[in-house]
Amino acid sequence: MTQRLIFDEGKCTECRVCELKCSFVHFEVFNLNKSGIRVVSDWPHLPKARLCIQCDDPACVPACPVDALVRTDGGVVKVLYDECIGCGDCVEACPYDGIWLDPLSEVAVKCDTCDGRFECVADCFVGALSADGKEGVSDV
Amino acid sequence: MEVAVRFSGPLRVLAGRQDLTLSLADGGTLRDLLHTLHDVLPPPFVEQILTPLQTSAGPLALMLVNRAHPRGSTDLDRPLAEGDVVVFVPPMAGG
Amino acid sequence: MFECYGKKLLRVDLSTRSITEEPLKHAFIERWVGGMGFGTKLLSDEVPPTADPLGPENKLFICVGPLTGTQAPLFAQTCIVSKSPLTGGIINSYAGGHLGGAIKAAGYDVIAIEGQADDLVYLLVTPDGAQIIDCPELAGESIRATEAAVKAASGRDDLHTMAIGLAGENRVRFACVVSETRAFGRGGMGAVLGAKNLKAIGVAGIGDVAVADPAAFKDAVAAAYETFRQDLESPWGYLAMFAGAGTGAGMSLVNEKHALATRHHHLTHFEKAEEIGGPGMMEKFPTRPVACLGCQVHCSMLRSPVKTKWGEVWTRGPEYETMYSLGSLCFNGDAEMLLKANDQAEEYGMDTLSLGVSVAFAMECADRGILPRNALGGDVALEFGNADATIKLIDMIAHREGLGDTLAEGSRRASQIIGQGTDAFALQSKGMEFAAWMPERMRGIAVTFATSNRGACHKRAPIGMELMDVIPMDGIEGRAALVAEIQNKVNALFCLVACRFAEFIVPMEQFLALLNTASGLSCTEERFMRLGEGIWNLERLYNLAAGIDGSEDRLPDICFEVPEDFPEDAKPLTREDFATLLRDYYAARGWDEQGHPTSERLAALGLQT
Repeated sequence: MTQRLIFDEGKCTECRVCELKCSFVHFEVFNLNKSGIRVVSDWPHLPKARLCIQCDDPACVPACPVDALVRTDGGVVKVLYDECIGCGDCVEACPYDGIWLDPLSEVAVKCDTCDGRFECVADCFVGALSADGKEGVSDV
Repeated sequence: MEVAVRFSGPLRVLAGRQDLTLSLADGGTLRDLLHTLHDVLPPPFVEQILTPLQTSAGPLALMLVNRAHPRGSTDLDRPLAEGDVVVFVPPMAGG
Repeated sequence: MFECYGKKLLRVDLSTRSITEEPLKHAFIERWVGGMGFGTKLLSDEVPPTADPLGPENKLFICVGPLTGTQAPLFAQTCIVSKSPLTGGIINSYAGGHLGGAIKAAGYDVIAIEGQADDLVYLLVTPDGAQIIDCPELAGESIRATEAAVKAASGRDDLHTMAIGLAGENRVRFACVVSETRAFGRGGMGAVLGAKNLKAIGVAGIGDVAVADPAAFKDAVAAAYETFRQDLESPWGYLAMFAGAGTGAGMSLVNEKHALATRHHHLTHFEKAEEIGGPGMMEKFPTRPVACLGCQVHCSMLRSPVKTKWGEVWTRGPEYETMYSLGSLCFNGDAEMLLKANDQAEEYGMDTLSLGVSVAFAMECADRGILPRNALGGDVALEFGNADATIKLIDMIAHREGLGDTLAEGSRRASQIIGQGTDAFALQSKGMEFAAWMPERMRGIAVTFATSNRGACHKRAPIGMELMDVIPMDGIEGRAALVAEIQNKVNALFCLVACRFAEFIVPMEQFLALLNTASGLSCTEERFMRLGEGIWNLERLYNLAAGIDGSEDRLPDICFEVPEDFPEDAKPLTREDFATLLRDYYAARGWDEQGHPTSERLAALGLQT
C-alpha cells in the first residue's frame, strides 16, 4: 500500500516549519519553493496544502521526456534532480497541482515521503501532518 | 476558619467554577487546604494543578496566597489565617 | 562563512527614485550581527541625530538577521530602525509574520528607505527586480485593502507585504506599519512612511538560505525544538499559555497581583479583566491560532468575522497589551468593543498601545473637568468605560479631526497643547506611551520605562521574575543592574532577530549554537552580551546628540501617586527610591552621574566618543 502525506487543514497554523524542513532535508538549504509541501493561506478561511497524493497511475511519470520521474517499489514518485531539465511537462500533466518547478534551480519538486521517513511529520508540533496508507487513488 | 479560594483565567474551566469558600480547622495549613480540595475539584484539576503543587520542591507557580506565590514546600506548612485568599492562576512570563 | 546572510543592502531613494544594491562588508556583518545591530549602526552613521523624523533626511532600515528564513524556531521577526516622530530619538520596532523570510529569500539583509517621493507610491521587490510604482488610487485606503491590491497587481502569490493606512498618511505620530497579521507597532513608523509617501512594500524572493554547518545546525535546531516541546507539552508552560489563548492568557495573573493598570492608573485591578482576557476572548469568539514563519507557539489569535454593534469585524488579536490600553486603562470591559477597536487600529494603522493610552488620557482629562464631556460632538460622552466614545475617538484620531488632531500628536505633545497641568499624568516617558505595566507596582518596570532608549519600553524588563515573585515586585536592591543586563541581552537577541518569547525559555547556549552553526561565527556569550550593550550605548549617544539627555530618564508625577486599591502590603514608588534606582542604573552602565556614557566604557565596548 502506498503511503502519502496527509494534511489536516483544521490543525495547521501556517507556520511552514514543514516547508523549511522539507527543503533542508532534500537540498540542504531553506527555500520554501524547494519544499514538497506548500501551505497556501486564505484568511479568514482555512489554509490549503499543495501536495502530491502519490497516484497509483501517475500522469507525471510518462509526461517526463527525460525519465527524471521514477515510481519506487513503494508506489511513491521521486524526482531525479540531476536528470531533470526543468521543462515543466510534469507540472502541466498533474491534475492535482502536486508538483511544481523551483524557479531558482528550475528543478521539479514534489513530496517523495523522504523514502517513507516523512521527516516533516515529527516537526509539526500541532499534528497537522500524518502519514497514511491508501488504496487505489486514481489519476482522474 | 474560612478561607476564600478563587480560580482565575483558564483554571476556571478546569475547576468548573469561579470560587468557593473552605472551612478549615484553626491552624490549618496550605497543605491541608490542597488536600481538602482533592475531594471537591474535578480530577483534571487535581492531576494538573494540585498534585504538582503538592509534590513540587521549588516555587509554586500555579497559586497565589494573599497575592503572593508561595516560595516552596516550606510555605505549604505555614498555617493559614481567617480571611486569607488563595487564588489558582496560571503563570506568566512578561512582555 | 556568512552563508545564512544575503550580504546585501537594497537602497531605495524615493526622492530620485533610484534603487541600488550594496554589498555588506564582512567586517560589518561580524561586528553588528544583524537585525537591530545592523539598523542601529546604519542609522547612527547615515541620519543626523537632529534630522526631522518626518523629513526627507530620515531613513528607515528594514533589517532581518542571520537566523531569519531558517528552521531555527522563533526567528521570524523583522526589525525597523529609524528616528521616531513620537520620541524624537532612535527607535527599533518589530513585526513577525512572513515578511522577514521573504526579504531574506530576496537576497537582502537590509532594505534602506530614504528621501521622499513626490506622490504616493509603493515599492515592489521581486526576482524581476525592484520598482517604485505610483499608486494614487490607494490614497486613504485601509491596510488590508492596500496589501491585497499590491499582491494582486504583482500577480504573485508568494508576495509578502507591509503597508500603512490613513493614520500613517495623516502622520499620526504613533501610526504603525502592518504586515499581514502582525504589526511594527511602536514609535510611529507608519508616520515616517507616510511622510515619505510610501504606502506599501511588497517583497517576494526565490533564493536559498544556506547555513555554514548544516549537520551542526540541524542538531542545534533539534536541541531548541526539545526546549520548546517541554514547555508547550505542559498545559501551563509559559509559552503553552500563549499558544492556547494568545498573549492575553497572562491577564489573569497580572490582575490577581493587582498590577493591571486600570482607569488610567487610578486602580490596579479590573473587575472585568476575565471578560477581555485571552481565555475570555476564546470563549466568546471562534478563533484559530496562526503562526509566524517557523514558530511553534502560534500566538496570533485570528478571530472569525464577528457581528458587533459597530458592524462586522474581522481581526487578529487583540494582544494582551491592547486589552490593557483600550480595555482596562479606559475602563472598557466590552470584548466586542475591543475587537472593533483592534480592527480599527489594524485598518488605519495605529499602535494600539499609544492609541489606547491617548484615548484614556482624553477620558482622564474629561474626568477631571479639563476637557468637556461633549468634546467628541454628537451625544457620545467622553468618559471612562464608554465603548462608543472609544470607537469614535479612534476614528477622529486617524482622521485628525477635532480632539483627534491633538491626540494624534501623542500624549506628551497633547498634554503640552492642552496644558492645565496634564503633563503630570500623561503616561509617557520620552514621548513614548506606557505599555501595560505599572511602575507604581513593579520596580523593574519603573527603571526600564524611565531609561529605555525608545521610551517606555516593556520588552526589556524582568516582568516574569517580578510577577512570579522570584524577586520582590517592589524591591530596589540590585534591580537597576538586572534591568541593564536584560536590556543588553534583549538588544543582542534582536540582532538575530529573535522573538522575545524565545528569550523566556531558550538558554543562552542554544541561541549561540544556532547563531554560530548558521553563520560560521564563533560568538561567545561574553561577546554577545557586549554586542547588546554596545548597541544600547550607540542608541544612547544618538539620543544625546538628538537632545534627549538624562533629564528625560524620568517618570510622570502620576507614578508617585498611590492608586485607590493599592495593596496594603505593597510599597508605593517613592521619589527617593526612584532616585536610588536611577543612580544604581547609571553606575551599573558605567555612565557618569548625568547619564552620559563615559569614554572608558565606550572604549571597552569598541565605540568612539
